[in-house]
Amino acid sequence: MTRLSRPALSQRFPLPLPPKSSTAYINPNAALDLKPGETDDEFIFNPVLTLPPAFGSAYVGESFSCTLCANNELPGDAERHVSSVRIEAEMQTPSGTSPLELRQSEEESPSLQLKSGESIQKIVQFDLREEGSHTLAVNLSYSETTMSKDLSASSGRVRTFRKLYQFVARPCLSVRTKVSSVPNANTEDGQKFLIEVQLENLADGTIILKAVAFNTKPAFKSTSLNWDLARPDVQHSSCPSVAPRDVLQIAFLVEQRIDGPSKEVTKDGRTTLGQLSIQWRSSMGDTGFLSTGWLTTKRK
Amino acid sequence: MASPLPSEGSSAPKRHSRNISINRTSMPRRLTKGPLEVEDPLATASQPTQEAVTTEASEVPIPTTPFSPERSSAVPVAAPTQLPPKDFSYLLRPEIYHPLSHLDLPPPFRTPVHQPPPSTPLPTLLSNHNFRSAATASALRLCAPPPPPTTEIFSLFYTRLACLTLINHLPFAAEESKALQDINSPFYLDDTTKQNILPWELRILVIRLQGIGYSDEKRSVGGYYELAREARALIKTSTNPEETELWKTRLKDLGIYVANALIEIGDLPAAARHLETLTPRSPTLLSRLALTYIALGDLSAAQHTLSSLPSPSPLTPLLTISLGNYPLAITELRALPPSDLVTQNLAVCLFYIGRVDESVKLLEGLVDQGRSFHALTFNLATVFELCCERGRERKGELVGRVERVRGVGERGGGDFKL
Repeated sequence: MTRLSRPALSQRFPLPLPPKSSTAYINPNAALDLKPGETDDEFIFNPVLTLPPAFGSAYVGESFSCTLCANNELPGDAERHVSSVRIEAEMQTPSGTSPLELRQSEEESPSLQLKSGESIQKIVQFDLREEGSHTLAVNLSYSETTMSKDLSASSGRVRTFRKLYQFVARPCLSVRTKVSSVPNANTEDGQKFLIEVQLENLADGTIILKAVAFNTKPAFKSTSLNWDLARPDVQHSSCPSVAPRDVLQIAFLVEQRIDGPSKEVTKDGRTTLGQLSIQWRSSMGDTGFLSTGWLTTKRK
Repeated sequence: MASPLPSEGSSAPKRHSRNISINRTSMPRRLTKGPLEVEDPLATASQPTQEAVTTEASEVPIPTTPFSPERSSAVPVAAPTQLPPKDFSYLLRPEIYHPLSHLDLPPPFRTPVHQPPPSTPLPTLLSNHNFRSAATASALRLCAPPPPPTTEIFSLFYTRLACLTLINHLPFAAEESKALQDINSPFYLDDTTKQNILPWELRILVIRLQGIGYSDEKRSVGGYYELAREARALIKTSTNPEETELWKTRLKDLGIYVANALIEIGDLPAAARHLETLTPRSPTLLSRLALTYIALGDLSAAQHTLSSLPSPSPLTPLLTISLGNYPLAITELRALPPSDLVTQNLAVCLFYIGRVDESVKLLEGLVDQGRSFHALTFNLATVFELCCERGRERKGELVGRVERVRGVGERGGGDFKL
């Protein structure tokens, strides 16, 4: 099993060099097998991709992806042959177990015989929604056929085994909200509320907020008071970044729709306004998504 | 270039050199007693040896740099009003330099072919990419009597630190770089020209290493800004057009070093903001900016930057990958002019869509062609870990294949995930 976070860019801090005429001149590129012009020697990043070095941290809200590989490790001249390989996987989360859909490239057919040294690779994806311990359980079954010397099949049996991979999902964003009614709002226009939100980045890396939205109940409409506030002239660098432990404050104005449907009020007299949804990207474009529970007004 | 010291005069500067650090600032941890403090007998006893080796050393070309004002100033000792020559013997103490073991190397790289004896001439070691031996050799030359001339001290010190970073001994290099202390101290200014006597490349290197060595992440960013201030001043005052150009180039380089330093300390948003301010907005600069945005995950900004680059840009597939669309990225990569790097990125994409067999075939194909850059061996090792129980064995075989490539420098265990 290998986790499939996005591949990373090669990173190498450029070595300042003396003039080429100097006897102390070093050609680090030749030693590192980089041909002239292949890489940018003055910049730390290079467009050469590397696979994720390790599992890394798993965060709530992230789209978790990993690849599973079944390999035939039998020696090439073995009399046993492996076929009908089936891989099944499920994710055990603190609240229950869900089966996972396995994707594979379209060219493979599941009944194909797995020759010695060959591998079957599958990819699974799972949205991490809960904090805490997760276990990826992988069941593998295959038919093992023993061939006699004259290549006539003699005996076969089905074998199965199970592998477990455990990891912990940690929170990436902490969301604190505060709902207040806008004072002096004209009662004929309906009620107005201000939603203030503090987002704290609890992850180890910087995240870029892609979109934040307050999805209201039908009785209300919301206006973002943030960076995406109707400014078509700003096209880029407009998404805020949040460094680890940084807190970003955002706000929404929620207004009752005139002639809209009636408000939904809970048993204890709170009005349900809507819920907040946040989309972000972390390093190299890995995505995350989070939505809060229903936010309500204070009890009257 | 090699000009031996006159043998009669060689004792005089030595006596002078004992007047240590009168004008040097901020030098803690000085030895209060040392071999130089001992009475005359030692000084006179060591004299003949020094003479003998000095003449011998004079036959070896001394690495010099454009900054070599100190060499000539050592000769006219007779003038009594002359300031005493600066004493750099604090760089010659063996305890500064860490011994290097071969144990961190994969066994195939421990052979004499890759680790020739440090007695081999330094330029040979450098041109053959024997950086580990070169690091040891430069430390040995620094610590063995007679003390090398000033410019050679700095050149050797640079070689030592540069080689350590090249063999992945960054912590050692960072620790050893502290021996120079404050590289902007007036002590390092030439008495007549008032310019810093340390080679430029050494100053750039030491700024980064000291930042790491003192665990002060932002120190390197400030250090480059300080050099930029100096470069700006010299551009203004310099009367020599060649020198003005040199300092302009250096100032431009420093702009990129600041970005590199910000990225190294993990502040990619600051690096992006800094790169946005640089001019001219050449395709090279825009590519660097786009890569920074992609690494940061600010993909809309990356897209915007890429749209002002000529298409098809080799960076477009990278953006597609960041968006998670590997099949499209594969199509885009195949449309680019073929190169080894495109092939290696293609192999990475194939891995993400579940075609590990093809991926291995491409990567191994590159190794068969004699390629061995870090990303290639690292990725192949990662795939081996996944798709064979004998991953370690396969990685070991890979080390052997890379080691046999002609002219290849040493590789560490990290290159093969060993």
